[in-house]
Amino acid sequence: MSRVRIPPTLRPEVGGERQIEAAGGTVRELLDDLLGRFPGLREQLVEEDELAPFVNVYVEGEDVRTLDGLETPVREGSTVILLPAMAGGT
Amino acid sequence: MEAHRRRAGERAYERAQLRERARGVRLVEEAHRCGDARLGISRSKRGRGGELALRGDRPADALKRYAVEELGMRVAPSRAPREERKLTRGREPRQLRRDREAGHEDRPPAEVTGVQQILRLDRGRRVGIDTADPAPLRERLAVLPRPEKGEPEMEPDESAPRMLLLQTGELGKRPVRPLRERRAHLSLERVVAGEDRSRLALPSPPVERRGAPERLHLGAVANAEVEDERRAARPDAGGLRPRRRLASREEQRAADGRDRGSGSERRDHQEDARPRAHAGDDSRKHAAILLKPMASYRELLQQVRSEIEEVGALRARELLEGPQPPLLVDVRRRDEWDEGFIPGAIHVPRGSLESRIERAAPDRDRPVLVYCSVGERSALATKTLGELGYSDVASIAGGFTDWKRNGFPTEIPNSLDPSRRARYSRHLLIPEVGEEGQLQLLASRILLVGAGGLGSPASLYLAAAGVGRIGIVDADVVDASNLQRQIVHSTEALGEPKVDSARRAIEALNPDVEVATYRERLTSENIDRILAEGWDVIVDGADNFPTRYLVNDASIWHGIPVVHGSIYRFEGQVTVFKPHEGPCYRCLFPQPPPPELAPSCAEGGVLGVLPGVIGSLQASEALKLALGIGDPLVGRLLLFDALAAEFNEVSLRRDPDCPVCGDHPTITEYVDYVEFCNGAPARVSS
Repeated sequence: MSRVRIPPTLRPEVGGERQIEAAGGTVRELLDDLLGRFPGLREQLVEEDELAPFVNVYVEGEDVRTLDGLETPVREGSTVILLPAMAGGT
Repeated sequence: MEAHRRRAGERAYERAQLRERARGVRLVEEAHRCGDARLGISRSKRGRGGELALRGDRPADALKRYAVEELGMRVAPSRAPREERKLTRGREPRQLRRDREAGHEDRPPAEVTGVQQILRLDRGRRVGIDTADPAPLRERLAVLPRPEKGEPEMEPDESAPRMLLLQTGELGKRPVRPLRERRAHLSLERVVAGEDRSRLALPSPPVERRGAPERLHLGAVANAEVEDERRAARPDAGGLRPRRRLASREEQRAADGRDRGSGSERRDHQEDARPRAHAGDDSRKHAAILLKPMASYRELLQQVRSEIEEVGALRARELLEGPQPPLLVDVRRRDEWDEGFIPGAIHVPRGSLESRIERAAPDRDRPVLVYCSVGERSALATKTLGELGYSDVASIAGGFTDWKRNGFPTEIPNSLDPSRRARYSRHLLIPEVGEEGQLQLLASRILLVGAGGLGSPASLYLAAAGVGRIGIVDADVVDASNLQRQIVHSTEALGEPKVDSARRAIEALNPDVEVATYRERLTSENIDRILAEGWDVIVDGADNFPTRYLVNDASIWHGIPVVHGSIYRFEGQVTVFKPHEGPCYRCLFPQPPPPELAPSCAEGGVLGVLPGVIGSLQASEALKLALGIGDPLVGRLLLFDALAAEFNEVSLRRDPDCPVCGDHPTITEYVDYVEFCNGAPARVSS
């Protein structure tokens, strides 16, 4: 299991939780687990079976786009951060 | 003296009453300021010390028995009288009153630091210097730590003989001596009347007769080091002296006369106003505290000069213009430096030479040339540097004076005026900022996009820090819903354009800051005009995606780093986009999310203090960039979660395929950002 940090904009889809435990050896498996339980997240994270361009996924602080994308391995106990773009400044 | 003492004793006998014995009250006989010794009770209670007039008819036996000591020593006049301790003022001696009437009343009653003997009930004898500061204990030796300009500074003198009774401990209780190469050390001549000595319960203090019958003074008499050097440089009669000579009254007066400052004159008058209760009573004098034999300044200097290398101004110039110029260190005081220095020199005042030279000159094998005004302080500094391990150090003989006399080039430093030195003193104390950095800040220009939640704290902190020019772009007016977090605006600014409200707040905070306001929305049409004014850093506090992408693209094309911040509810993000040195906003988010997936603060709300945290972090990053210090958040995104009270950091990487900052950019001019953001709100600020 890994911890997935849910950004505030996505929390309504997961019942307001800041952090969700999810299982999977890769980012894809992890997201599948997550989206299976919280189907409302799909639209906000995935576009055509790939990560949406306005969302970044970090495994242990590294952007998976700079690693192996959705195939990036996720070790047991890792922290995964979902980070959609945020524009608010005032 | 005898008469005074006796009178004092009689008065004490008549009036003294020890009513507060249980509260640690002590009898104090104070002999400073006037010859008519006052009697009082001193409480040792902190902050409430002071003499209380003795009343009642019970005798103070100790006072009857013990002589007063009058120690002719002055340490430093302070700036203002502290009236609260002078509870015995009503009983000023006539002599003092006369002097005041004679015209001294106009002068601020500088406090004479007097030495007093304190007779405790337990018969412990202590000598202390009373600086007229509230103090927990009377028996201390303390000097004013920050003398007036021109007055000698004091430093602890470990080598000075300890007075028999001083309790050492903190600085204020240690012997002190004038700072740097002053001629004289603090010395006390303790005058004790001869009678009744046998009745002292304590062992007698060591008694040695001082050679000079004249009243002794703290010999640091002139206020300028230059004066010191000049005097010391004069051929002086007399060879080696076994004992350090102290400045006599005449010498001191003469020195004061040479002083440029008026303070010394004042000091001198006050000196005159002091009755000399004990003078001329040599037969009874016993010097209890004496100096060990020391070399004079000139002897010391001669010795040092024989140990170091000196070069003349001509040779120094050759070296400095040579292929491998030595590091040139100016050890003069700040005010001397301000009047001009040798080009290329770094300024390390001699007073902080040891602590600061390592930072200034980390390489101890690099040749170093040291200079001062005439080559004396630099000689001493040269020796010090040698002791610190600098292998090749030389002093410029004749110093800056000789350099100028040769007609060699000098430079006037660009420096902060005193009011700015005061305002930015906390910056000046930071080695990474210092005066140079502060001057850099005052010359820097930072543009704020948005004067809202993020722009508010950022603008205030940047203004307070002395950023010379702050630009603000915002089209909105202050709304009531802003005031929960937008602290640059106030209730009375409701309805006012935000740029005007912010300008007022910034100017009130720091008049050094020039504020440029742009009451307009940032668009493809106006951004080039605004950025063309030459900004060092952009602080992006916009609240919508089109402006974020517009600022990003423009900053890359203009080569201006952007400190990015965004907030939503309890969470914020900060990073720095430095063109071509790290990722840009498009590398991070190639596309904005559809509007329905990216609610703004206006829609989703925000904790009022959150922009305070994130905007302050942005200000911090902006200052670092303006100063060129530290590790800015380039390639790192800092995430703050106020609810969890947690900071996280993720790595950002530049995308070589980025359409704007990538290796083969596909976007090279402004696009329709509103359209690009697919109908996202296009306000600069809300």
